[in-house]
Amino acid sequence: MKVGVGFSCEDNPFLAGKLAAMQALAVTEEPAITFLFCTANYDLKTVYKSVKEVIGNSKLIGGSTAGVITARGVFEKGVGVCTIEKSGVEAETLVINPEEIKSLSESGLMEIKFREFADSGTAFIFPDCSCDNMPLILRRIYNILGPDFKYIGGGTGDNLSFSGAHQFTEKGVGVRGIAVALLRGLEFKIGIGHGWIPWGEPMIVTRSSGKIVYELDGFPAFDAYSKNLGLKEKNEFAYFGMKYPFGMPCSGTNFLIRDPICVNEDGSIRLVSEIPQNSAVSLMKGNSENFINTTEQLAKRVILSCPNPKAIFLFNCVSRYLLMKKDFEKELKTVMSNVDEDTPVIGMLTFGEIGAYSSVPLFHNKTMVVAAGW
Amino acid sequence: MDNTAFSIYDLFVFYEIASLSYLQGFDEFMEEIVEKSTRLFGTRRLAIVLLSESKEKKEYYFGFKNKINLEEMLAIKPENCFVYYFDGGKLGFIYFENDCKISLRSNKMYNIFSKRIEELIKAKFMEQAIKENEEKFKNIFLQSPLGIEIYDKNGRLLEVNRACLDIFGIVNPDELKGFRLFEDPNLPEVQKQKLLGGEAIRYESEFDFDIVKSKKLYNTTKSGKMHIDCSITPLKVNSDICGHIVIVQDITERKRNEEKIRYLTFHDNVTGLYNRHYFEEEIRRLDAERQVPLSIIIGDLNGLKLLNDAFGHFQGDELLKKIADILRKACRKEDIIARWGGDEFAILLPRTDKKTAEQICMRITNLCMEGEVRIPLSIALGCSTKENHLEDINEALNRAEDAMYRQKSMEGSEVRKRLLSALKRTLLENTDETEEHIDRIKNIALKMAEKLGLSEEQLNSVKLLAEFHDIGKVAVPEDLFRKGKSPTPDEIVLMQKHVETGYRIAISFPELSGISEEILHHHERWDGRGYPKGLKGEEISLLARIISIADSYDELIQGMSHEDNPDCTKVLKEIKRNSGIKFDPSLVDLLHTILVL
Repeated sequence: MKVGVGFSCEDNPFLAGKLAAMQALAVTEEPAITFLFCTANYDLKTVYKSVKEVIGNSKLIGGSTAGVITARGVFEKGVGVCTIEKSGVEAETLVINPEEIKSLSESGLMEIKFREFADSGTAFIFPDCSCDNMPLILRRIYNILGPDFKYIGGGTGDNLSFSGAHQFTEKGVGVRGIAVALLRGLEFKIGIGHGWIPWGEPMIVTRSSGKIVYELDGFPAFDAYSKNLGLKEKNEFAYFGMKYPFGMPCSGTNFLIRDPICVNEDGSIRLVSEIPQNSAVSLMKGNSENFINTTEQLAKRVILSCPNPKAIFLFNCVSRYLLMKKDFEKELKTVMSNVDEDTPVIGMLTFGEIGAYSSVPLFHNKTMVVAAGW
Repeated sequence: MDNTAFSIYDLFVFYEIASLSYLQGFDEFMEEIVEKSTRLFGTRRLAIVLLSESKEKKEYYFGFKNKINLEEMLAIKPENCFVYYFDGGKLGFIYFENDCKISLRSNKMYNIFSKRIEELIKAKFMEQAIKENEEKFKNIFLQSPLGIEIYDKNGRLLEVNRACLDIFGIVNPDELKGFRLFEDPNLPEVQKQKLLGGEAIRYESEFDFDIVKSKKLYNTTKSGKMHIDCSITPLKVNSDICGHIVIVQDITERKRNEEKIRYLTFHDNVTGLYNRHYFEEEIRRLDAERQVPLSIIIGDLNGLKLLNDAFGHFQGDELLKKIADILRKACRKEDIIARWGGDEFAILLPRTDKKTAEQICMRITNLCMEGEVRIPLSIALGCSTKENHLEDINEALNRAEDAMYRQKSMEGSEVRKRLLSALKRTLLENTDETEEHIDRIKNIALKMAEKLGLSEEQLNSVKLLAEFHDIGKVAVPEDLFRKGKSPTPDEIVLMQKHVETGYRIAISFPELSGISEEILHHHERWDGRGYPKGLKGEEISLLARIISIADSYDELIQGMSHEDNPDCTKVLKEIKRNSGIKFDPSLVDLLHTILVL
């Protein structure tokens, strides 16, 4: 099986797309599927068009991002393309409407198409960063595909101007959807890690709704949060929120991270993703050293246990990138140190990450997902 | 998870388990269970089956791509699954499945989690059962046809149902805000005191809406009075009174019916007089020394059967009512007047001597002479007086009865004569019969009868028959005779009934009973197509056959009366044409012989 990777940071979007696609296609010729990750500071439709011209009828999946990850590092401007050859690999793509999937009866079309595809495989999921209730959506998808699928992906976004994310399939460029690709004929080993550690006493989310936590242990969320940190003013929250996210217990003594964004007038806290009411949470703390160590162990665990990986996918939270700053490159290097020079590496900075500790995919924040395919 | 002691991480898990709730619906509860178990325990598949008390089954599956046979899997019990039976299986079970063999620690965690789920399920079922009961009782309260009011311990009204509002004519329930049980002016004082003493009470009383209005208690659409049946029970919690419940019914209708039954028990429903049962009770009561002299009058109404047979029971009832009015008019207030039986009446006159009783009898007789219901009013009376308190009252009764019978037999023929006369008068006045027509028929019929050599007795019967053959027409509505147009089929049937009516009238009078069959047959036809029985040929009595021809001949002749010279030959021809059809052929020839000659 052949995997090709291409990258370009040409200013001209058409050229950038074309060059990246051609580089990838130089290895694989007729791909079963093409991954496209493009920073949001390009004219995405132009990039898309140029890539499509090159890849022809290949299935396509991907989205916009704040940064494309390659073996050489993270690029805040660029187009990354990865193609997987057809031999023995089949792919199917679909864009899901989040509102349809959230209702208790799953979307009929999706259900039929996906149930018929295969009993096992790998699902790449790229939701729009604005999607609500991704944990529930992932469970819905899992309920259709079952435990014999592996799940990996991350939220598409923009360059933090919050102007809107985009998702790509071979059918076109969309917004506010969830792009999903199913692959079979390819195995993946997937690992998740973050390096955050619990700090302080556990708290109960006594009232929350959607992405907003109203109360912790019966007190206004901000009061309970700031008590542990000595925070006095709401305008200091942005700094602390980035450094001290919430963690929910997760199987295998892990913690599922939840990233606070801002505090509201009423003392409630808005998060990137939902924390269900009645959950137990802890404040989490971390530093670059922890993060890098964790990533190193993660990379070893995933990549080295994989027999002759043909491709490495990396989905790393954009907030880790912002937090770690220059140390982010170090983190990336620890991953690369376990990868052969020739092994294609592609990924993107994500707004929420998708991966499973056991079988059921969870929606993570401030986390790194590494997937090695063969 | 490994087998070391519980860690701070486990504390998180315990927190999460403790905070699991079942506040919304079943689906939301399942979502929360799935979210927690997949996140906390790495559950990859989950199934839950819940059974309610009514054996209603709810199922929820997560992670099962294809349909599975859960019972089979439970029987196998794979190492990577955990099953917990709620309430020993009575309420269902939950099935968890992991990627790998479930460790001892995971087993403990699943156990704790499942127990928490079980606790919540039981609480939910109980909550549902309580809610169902509440709904049930609420429905009973709201839909009860009995009025229900609930008061607090201070007597302030808390709840009232629709039936109660309807009983008291209240449109807007807000009218009763602040209403107090112990300040209700319609609550009898005696009952109120018992209630204040903590007793439960039940009473019937009159409820006055005018009091409600005058005291401006609340707006009501009703006025006047009604009868209510009211029961008030203190509500107790641990023997402390915490309120009262009032159940009220409008029994006005029931009271009215009771009154009606009481009335009918002692009254005759046709005349409104007392009945025999009451009369006998009164005899027993008034048969005392201080009521002496005690007089009794027994009366027997004449012609009731005749009237019933001829004109129907409606007319018979009118006669009875008329005589009842006369008796009331003739008697005094203290006299007990009763309908003794069918056409018999009895009057008990306390402290009344014989002379006065006879005067009352005279008054009754005189009043009867002034009245009539199709036939003259006539009643045979007999009276007697118990002068001595030691005398047996039944003897006085028997004497009065005997006197009445003597009167009846003495007057019998005279009364019958008057009745018959009255009927004939009615026949001539209200129907198409005329004296002239009767005479002509008599004439023809007699000639025929003489020609046939009939006996003197038979000749007399012919005369009577000519006079009374159509007597039954007195019962036919008068307007049928005045109609210009042809009668409708229903009117024809009504008219034809006169033969049966005539028959019944005839058998009521000994004078006419001998020709009753002839009256019945006089519209039969020789060919059997007549009425009422369809008799044929000589089954029809001879005299009826004679009258039939005579009657038809006269009708036909009178039908030509507008001509100057009515031609009897034409009539005879018509009669002959019906010989053997309508008429006896031999009698047709006889008539021909008589008339031609």
